[in-house]
Amino acid sequence: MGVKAFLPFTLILIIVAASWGCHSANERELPILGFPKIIEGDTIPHTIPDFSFVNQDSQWVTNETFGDAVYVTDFFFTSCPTICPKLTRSMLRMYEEFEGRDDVLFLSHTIDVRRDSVPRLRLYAENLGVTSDRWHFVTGDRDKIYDIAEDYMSIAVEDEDAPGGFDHSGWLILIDKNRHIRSYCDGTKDEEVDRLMEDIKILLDES
Amino acid sequence: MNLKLLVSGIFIGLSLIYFTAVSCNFNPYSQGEWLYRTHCASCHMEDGSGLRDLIPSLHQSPFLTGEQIHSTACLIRYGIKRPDPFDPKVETYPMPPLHQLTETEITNILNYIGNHFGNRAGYVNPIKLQEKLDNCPNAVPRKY
Ligand code: HEC
Repeated sequence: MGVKAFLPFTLILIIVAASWGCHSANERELPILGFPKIIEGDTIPHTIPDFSFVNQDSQWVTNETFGDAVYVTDFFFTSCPTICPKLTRSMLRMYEEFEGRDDVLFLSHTIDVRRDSVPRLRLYAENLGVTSDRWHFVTGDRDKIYDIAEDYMSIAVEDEDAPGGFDHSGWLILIDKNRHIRSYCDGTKDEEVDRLMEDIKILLDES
Repeated sequence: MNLKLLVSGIFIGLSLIYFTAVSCNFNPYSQGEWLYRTHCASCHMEDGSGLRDLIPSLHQSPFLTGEQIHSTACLIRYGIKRPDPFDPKVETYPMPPLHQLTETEITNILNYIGNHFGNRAGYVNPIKLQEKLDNCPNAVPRKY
């Protein structure tokens, strides 16, 4: 068979792929991401485990803090000169987009717990002009933060093209009220952040 | 001598000059823009808008006017040093130094940002820039 014969197939494939990508936001359903566990024949979807950290106002932040809200999370540090400002800016854009809603919250973990004390996180939040009723900047035990990062990032690990080292990966991750990872994006890319905001709306419509 | 060779040589030479001129006209700040994206945009953002009170915006910046722009070269080369707000004995660099940039590269960055983001500094004067760089108040000797 000649190369020419493949051309129509390729075209059809491209068209199918393109229209897949064009699915309007409301028709899309968000999958539960991450590797499920199979325990005694039951499939348990990947779930964010219990955590407790301290935020910029010295308050405990746990899974319960988010209650019925969905939240977007990232990993950063206040003195980071590379991609963190861009990540923070993308988070800020979402924070502003969902202004006045207490069912869309934000959680930023520092990965530099030695330097990023509570007062330092508070100054950072103040300079950003955001408050802990919607956006928590948390610190805590270093290993616990690294462990939970792995839990959030397990979705990213599936992606072979993901840049190595979670601290430089730049992911923003969307969690639903059942502790499941539902979407994520590269927080350094504005178009991807736009798509994540659409995903937040889909998630809010779900309940 | 081969006349054909000469003519085609001249022709190629002229078209090279032409294309360089056209591409330079198209974007006179191409190196400056590229350097800005590489060295500055991660903090000041591609659009120069900064990040609230964490990182200053470069829009209509007093640091990027005709009078001030040459002094700003010192900030680019030697960074901005501040005492750590929680440990005043420790010096930090909210904006890190970029010793590796040449005068030409600094000039190109300044020409780009000085004429974008609502700034109208005009072109940097290389002699003035060199004078400022030779006398930076924030100069620190290179450690490496
Ligand atoms: C690591 C982040 C970072 C990088 C990279 C960076 N800056 Fe800055 N820049 C800052 C911060 C923070 C300040 C404010 C510092 C202060 O005054 O305490 C600042 C201040 C400035 C100012 C003075 C503006 C003002 O209103 O105070 C100019 C001009 C400037 N930067 C230009 C640049 C240029 C040009 C580059 C690239 C060559 C660059 N910066 C790279 C973080 C950065």
